[in-house]
Amino acid sequence: MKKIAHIVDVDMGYGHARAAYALKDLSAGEIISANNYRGIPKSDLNMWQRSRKAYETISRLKPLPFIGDLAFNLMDEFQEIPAFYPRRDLSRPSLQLRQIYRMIDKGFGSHLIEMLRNEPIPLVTTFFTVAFMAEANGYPGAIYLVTTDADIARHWAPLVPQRSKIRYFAANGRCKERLMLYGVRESQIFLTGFPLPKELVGGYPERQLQKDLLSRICNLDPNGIFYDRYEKTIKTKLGPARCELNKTHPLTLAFSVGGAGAQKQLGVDVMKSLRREIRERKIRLALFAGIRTNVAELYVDAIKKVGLERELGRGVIVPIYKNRHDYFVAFSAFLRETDLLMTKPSELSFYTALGLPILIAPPIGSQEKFNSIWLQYVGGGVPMGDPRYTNEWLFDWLNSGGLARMAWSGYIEAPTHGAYRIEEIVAGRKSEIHPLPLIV
Amino acid sequence: MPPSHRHDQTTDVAYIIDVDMGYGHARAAHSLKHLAGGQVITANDYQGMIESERLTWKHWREAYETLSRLRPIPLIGKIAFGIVEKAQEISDFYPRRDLSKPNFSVRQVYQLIERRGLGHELTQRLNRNPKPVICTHPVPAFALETHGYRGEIWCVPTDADVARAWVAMNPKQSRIRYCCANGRLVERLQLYGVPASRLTLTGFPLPQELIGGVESSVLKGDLARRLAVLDPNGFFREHYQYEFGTSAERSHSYVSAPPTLMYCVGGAGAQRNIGRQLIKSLASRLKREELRLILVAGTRKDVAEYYRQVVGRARSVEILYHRQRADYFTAMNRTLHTVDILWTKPSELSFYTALGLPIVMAPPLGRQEEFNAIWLTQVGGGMMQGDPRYTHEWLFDWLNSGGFARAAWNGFVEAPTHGVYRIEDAVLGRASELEVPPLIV
Repeated sequence: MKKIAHIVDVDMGYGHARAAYALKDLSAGEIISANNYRGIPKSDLNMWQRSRKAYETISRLKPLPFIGDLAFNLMDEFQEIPAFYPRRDLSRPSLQLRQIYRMIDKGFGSHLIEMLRNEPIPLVTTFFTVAFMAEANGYPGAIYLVTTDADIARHWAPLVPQRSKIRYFAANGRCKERLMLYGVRESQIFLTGFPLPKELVGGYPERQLQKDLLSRICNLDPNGIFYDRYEKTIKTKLGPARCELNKTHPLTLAFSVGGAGAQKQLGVDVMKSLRREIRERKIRLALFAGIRTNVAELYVDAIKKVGLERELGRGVIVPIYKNRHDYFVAFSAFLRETDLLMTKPSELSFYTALGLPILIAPPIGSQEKFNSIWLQYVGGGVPMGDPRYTNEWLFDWLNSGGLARMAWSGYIEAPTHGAYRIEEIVAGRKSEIHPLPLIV
Repeated sequence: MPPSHRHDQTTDVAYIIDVDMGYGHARAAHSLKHLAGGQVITANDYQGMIESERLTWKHWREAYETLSRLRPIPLIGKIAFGIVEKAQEISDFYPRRDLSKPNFSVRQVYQLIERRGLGHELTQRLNRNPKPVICTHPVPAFALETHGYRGEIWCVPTDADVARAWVAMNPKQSRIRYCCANGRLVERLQLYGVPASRLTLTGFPLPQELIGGVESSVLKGDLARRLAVLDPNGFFREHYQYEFGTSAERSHSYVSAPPTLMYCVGGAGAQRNIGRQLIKSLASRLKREELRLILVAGTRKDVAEYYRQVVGRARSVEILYHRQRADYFTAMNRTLHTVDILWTKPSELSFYTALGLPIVMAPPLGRQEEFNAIWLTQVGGGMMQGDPRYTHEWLFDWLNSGGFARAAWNGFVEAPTHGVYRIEDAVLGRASELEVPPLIV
């Protein structure tokens, strides 16, 4: 696809980057990281690093008793998402937002926007500050901002939202309504759904997804309980399930921690609990450490300690990648043969739309709590049980067909075609994809 | 499998025993009363009951109520409530382990049975014509067994997970059989030491008049009408049009009408207040006839009076109140045909989602209600209430997005519907034509 837009993310956790990755076709594969691009002025780099370091340090402090909670709660207060009901005017800018604009007024980000101005095509960003920078510096092209959670704080909307030209791609209906409470005009918001990797969707209709889901249901419904109940719908939408033919991989659980690595111990506990089942080839476990070598090393050490060394690379996998792009490409490829995703309710919550049941690790921060509520409302996820007894509860849920039902609910209820809808809007094409209901 | 026997001709083949203690035990018994010729024996309040036995029940019940009432008192209250909590404690299920050791509550009940003869007179009475007995509370079952009842003893627990108090002192030697509402209960009772051979996964006994036989003919008719009401924009029906078969096809022939919400949360202080808040929040909607509201006062006259005062002359509001429990249950079952959304604590009414009823959950009270709430969420038949002060907003948001229709459908498909028929088959010792529900759900 020809480049028709700039895609700009930030290198800060995976949420913003993952959404940008899914939209890379719009920019012919080029993704600019606003805090880490070639030629970034030192002053801007320092500014980004300060805020990033503060965030990551606080996230890492979280497990510490008292101090961790105190620091995190302070930060969370800063990013608080107020109760949605009753609907009311929430357009008053927050402290954090004012701070961002003060920095922009001092020139933060102006170099980036000048650079982009050379090619004034639409700018699609997954991070709010970049959109504000573009608008404040008079970027001549259209400015689009992709929301990356199921509910968002005030700092996602500009200082004076009523007069802003920033247009939004909302990940779900609640996000759209929330932006309106923050003062963004309805005409500036497109309800698209979160952009999921196109290689996992396979167009409209979603042929690749359907093929993968059918194979997944075979693994997730060993007793045929779910299939018996929804046979007609499954056959009509996915075709007949012939599990002996559709089965492409062993039952596979992917555990994906956040970028700050605060939950790595959970992964170790899950692995320990499943060691017998891994040995008996009842399940394959992938512990994703992203690009964090130290986390991967910790996993490998733990695997060796419990005597699963011989299973490394087979029954238990610890993939590690040099950079974010390689990680996203490989993660997408691996998801095609993944049946269960265990993760914090981050942006990965939206991946339930691919027909992936999500085992929800404890949320960190307001927006993750909202993602968790959304995920459960959609029916695509459930809070994980005690990681030390994963070998018990996981197989109980599996045997009852409950996980297959979650895979199905995620596919049916959560929006799948976000990337396609966004592409069509940016390209100015009329969409053939069905509109989304306001809530969900 | 075609039915090999009928379920509408069974009568007077068993005794049904409940206790007068909340509605949970009585509601289950009411659904089973046709097996006893329409008679339910209330173990702590039956005709001809000897006074000493009545007093023993009273003291046992009052002991817990007194301890619970002490709760607001500093220190003492905490200790007192700790005792109550301990007695009702439901331990974490995982890791699976032996939980058969009797707790304080079980030992205390057995003391009353063995030393003070609790249930002795009732046992003598029933032994004159021994038939299978079905108890919806554990204490009468323990008493009958201890005092040598000559018939079979069945017990029907009324929550999705239960405390050790539901199982006999010596579970391995006991002959009490259980009809379990869900899979988790079957497994939990095994952790408490009950052999699998004495456990039958039946589902909670829901009222027959709301099911309509093993084919669920009444339920399907009600659900078809309800789906039309709960999916005003057709989002849900579009997704599941292939699956519905009769219900959805029929639902298209219904015209979408204003939904009916039943608020059935109880009458204690805080709960009353929620009722008041929601009436206030919905006032305009009710006035515009965008909703019909049924406030359930049960058998509590004071609650009915309170609601009457709060409601005043508001349109589209009804209050459900009857002096007698049996009349209340009958009236509630009749009304449920027309109800589209049930707002309740996650009590035994959680199981009513199997009738294709979406449940809005009020905050749970007690461990067993917390487990019911988890079960209901996993089944997909219920969601936690929003702020009652803004019911007029969130309730209609959920409605317009098809969320309630989805919950109604999930409840119907995933939760066991035919408990009452399976219990009948189990007690009569005949093979059931109904499928066995999966172990978890």
